[in-house]
Amino acid sequence: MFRKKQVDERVTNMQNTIYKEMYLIVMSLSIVSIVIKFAIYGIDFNMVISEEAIVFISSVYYVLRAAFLGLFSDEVEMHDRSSKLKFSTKTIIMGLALGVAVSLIFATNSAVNFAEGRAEAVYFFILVFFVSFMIYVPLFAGYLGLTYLAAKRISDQVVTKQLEDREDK
Amino acid sequence: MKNIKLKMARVEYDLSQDALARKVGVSRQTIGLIEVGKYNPSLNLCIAICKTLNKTLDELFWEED
Repeated sequence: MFRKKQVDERVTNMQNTIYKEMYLIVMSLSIVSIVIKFAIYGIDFNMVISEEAIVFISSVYYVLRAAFLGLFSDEVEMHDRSSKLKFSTKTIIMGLALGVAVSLIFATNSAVNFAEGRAEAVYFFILVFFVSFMIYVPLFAGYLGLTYLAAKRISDQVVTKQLEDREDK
Repeated sequence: MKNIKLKMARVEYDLSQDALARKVGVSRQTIGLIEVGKYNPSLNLCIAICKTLNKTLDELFWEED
């Protein structure tokens, strides 16, 4: 009664290419929207909840799907093959860089908005930067490092299971 | 369907899955999945594997009834 729908692999591949481009456009627009809103209205995270949700949920979904499909292990392997720095090392460096960036933002904000005079501004900058550095660098580096380890472990387990050459299957 | 011919050709060339994967530019898992019949490689990948193992497409990838 119902005809099986024929699927052309070339068409499917080209559609997937378009979907990938669409995803990149949506993510880019969301990030640009966040930057513009921060520039116009100041740093207010309530103003960018929709954009945050789009970026965050998409990113988490990709990491989880890649891990549970065993794809993450492949990505790490292919990356490490052609890069001087290992994926794990780059993840830690990214966490450190994020922590430093956040510390700089908070330190600059304190120096500009709360200090009276140049000497106090310098003092606030150094103090807030140092304290923020101590808090956020380990936080971001640890969070990204743990996320990487968890995703890699899950992905490796999935790959091991996929490669099991069972005679009864 | 498992690709035993590919596995035998690879072993004949004394190549591990990782070594073959590096030569053809894919991950070790991809070679492993092709060998256990859980991934259908593209024609380009089939040709690259054949050239590396000095075999024809029929010798490695034609299904025998």
